[in-house]
Amino acid sequence: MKNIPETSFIKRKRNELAWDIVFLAPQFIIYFSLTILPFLIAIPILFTDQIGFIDTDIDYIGLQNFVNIFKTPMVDMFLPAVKKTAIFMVINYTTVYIFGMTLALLMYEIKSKLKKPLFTIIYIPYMISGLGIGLIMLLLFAKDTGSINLLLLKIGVIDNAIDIKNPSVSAWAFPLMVGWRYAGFNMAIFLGGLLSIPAETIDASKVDGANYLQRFWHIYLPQMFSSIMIATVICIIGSWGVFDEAVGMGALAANKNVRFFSVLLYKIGFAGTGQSGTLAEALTMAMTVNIPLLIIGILLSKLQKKKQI
Amino acid sequence: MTNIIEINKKKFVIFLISLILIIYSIITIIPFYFLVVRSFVPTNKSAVFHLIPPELEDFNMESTYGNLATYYNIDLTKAKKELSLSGYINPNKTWTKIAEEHDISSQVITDYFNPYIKYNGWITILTDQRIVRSLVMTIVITFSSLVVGGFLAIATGSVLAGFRKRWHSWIYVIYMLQMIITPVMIIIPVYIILGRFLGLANSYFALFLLFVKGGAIPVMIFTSFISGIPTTLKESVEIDGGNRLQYFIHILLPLTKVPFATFAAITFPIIWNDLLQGLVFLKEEKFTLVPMINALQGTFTTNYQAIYAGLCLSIMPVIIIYLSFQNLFVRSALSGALKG
Repeated sequence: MKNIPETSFIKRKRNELAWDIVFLAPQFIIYFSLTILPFLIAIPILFTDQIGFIDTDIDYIGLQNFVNIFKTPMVDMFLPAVKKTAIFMVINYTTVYIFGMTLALLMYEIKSKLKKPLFTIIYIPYMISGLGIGLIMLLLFAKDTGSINLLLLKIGVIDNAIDIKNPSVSAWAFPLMVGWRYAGFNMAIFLGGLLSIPAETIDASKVDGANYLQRFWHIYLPQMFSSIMIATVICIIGSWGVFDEAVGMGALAANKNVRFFSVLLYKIGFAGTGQSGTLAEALTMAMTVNIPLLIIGILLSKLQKKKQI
Repeated sequence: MTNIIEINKKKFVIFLISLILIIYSIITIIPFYFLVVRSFVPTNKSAVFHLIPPELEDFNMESTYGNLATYYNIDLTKAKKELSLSGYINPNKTWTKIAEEHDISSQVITDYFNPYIKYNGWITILTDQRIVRSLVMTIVITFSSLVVGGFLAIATGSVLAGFRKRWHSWIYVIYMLQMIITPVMIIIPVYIILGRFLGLANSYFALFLLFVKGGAIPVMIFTSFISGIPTTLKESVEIDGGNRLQYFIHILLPLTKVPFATFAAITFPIIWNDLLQGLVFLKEEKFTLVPMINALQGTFTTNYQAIYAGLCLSIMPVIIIYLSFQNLFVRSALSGALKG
């Protein structure tokens, strides 16, 4: 008698496991082979001289690729692209606060019917393709034909047209435009943090006579910590992956100001013509930048979870 | 007395905040307004500011045959056929002369070319076979991957919900890693896997697989929703002798409509707007809409009007869906942030 429930229990357990696998496997196999496996198959290629996707003569060359990317001619493409992307990341990160957090704090104060339509409008640019954002930027600020340029010239606000293809203008305008695209997205992240503050906490602080700055420092900011971490991770990782907006600005054509790291990888990997560098070297560059990035991402996410508990 | 001043001051601050937000919203709308206007402004008029689409003069009969093609990107072979002109036509001949020689009234020619000149961008885009096909393919790919991807993520969530086993949380963590892995980071090895190992280069199926692979957001949404469903439902199905599949189809799927809508609202624009993966995995003749708009820059080099009209076309479906389900999108944006 004792054995019967036990065997049925084991059978049920095995059954459970089988069903778990049946339900998990389809997506997990696709996910694993297209997200995690790429890192694993990239590792052996890092130590070879594989030129392109079809290369039958592959030799083991040790750490030569890691040396090559810091030597001419590769370094002349690699370091400027990294530097450009790093600068972009810093300015782009400030826009998270200039746009996202400011909008969230303002939005949090109003309780009228306006709130919903305003949210809807501010969120619109996030719905548009990055390519579209880049093209729209050219439409507005191209030197001779940009609509905003022509408008400002007509009103007489400026004497000379803004030249978006000028490196120093582009370095500021591009991240601002990307910040504008993500304004609604970041606002939603911060607003999510603000809306989770219990109303009593704020009422209590008001009764105690705390002014806005004190409330911001002691109540809003700690409550938004988790949101800040999420926005930081998304912005840092996203900045190194910026591609669509740059392509819209002509990164694959003639515009050298927006040749970010991702554009360089794409050009070596897929555009082929006119780019020196082997596939293995492109992968080496990708991993040299991405592995530290992943570690930073994981550490920041851990920090966020720790604080949450 | 001080109380009234306080209240007025508060009202004034709220008014000021609303004003700032309204101004920002207007600034946000302006670029899209100009995009629409510029899709009606011909390239030769684009160096002048236009607040509204300009009034264009009628087709000029004194313009030469050859100029038509270069200025307005008009398909002259097609025009010749539809106007029943035959034989060789000297590109330097004016249309008045052509009308005389071929015995066609100038009214017919003007009526034929007027729409091409006034709505050049839109006609160029909408009569282009490649663009129409890429629009259709984008719709097909987007909706099929939303349905299949949602279905797969519900299946994943149904197992992971509640983290009944230790290895369930490991799987969950592996899915969460997707949040810090951008497509650009892994595009080269992904191409090796899909293009070389599986032979899916230039195949829509490669894109489909990339769009249904799931990741942090879908798994998060469904896992957290399904863990809120009482386990008694599952047990009652088991008592009635049903298995997991029956529970999944009859109980779980109907219940997950709300999280599915959230999932769709977050995923739809990402799939629709994808540029990189389309560029990498497809050849130009098979491009989805956004890569196609990018390719237009090469085809219609100076016909900005057509590029902007194409961009409008690629943006419109997203905006229409976004505005018609705005409650859903706003809710998803906020809830996605809360769960992150």
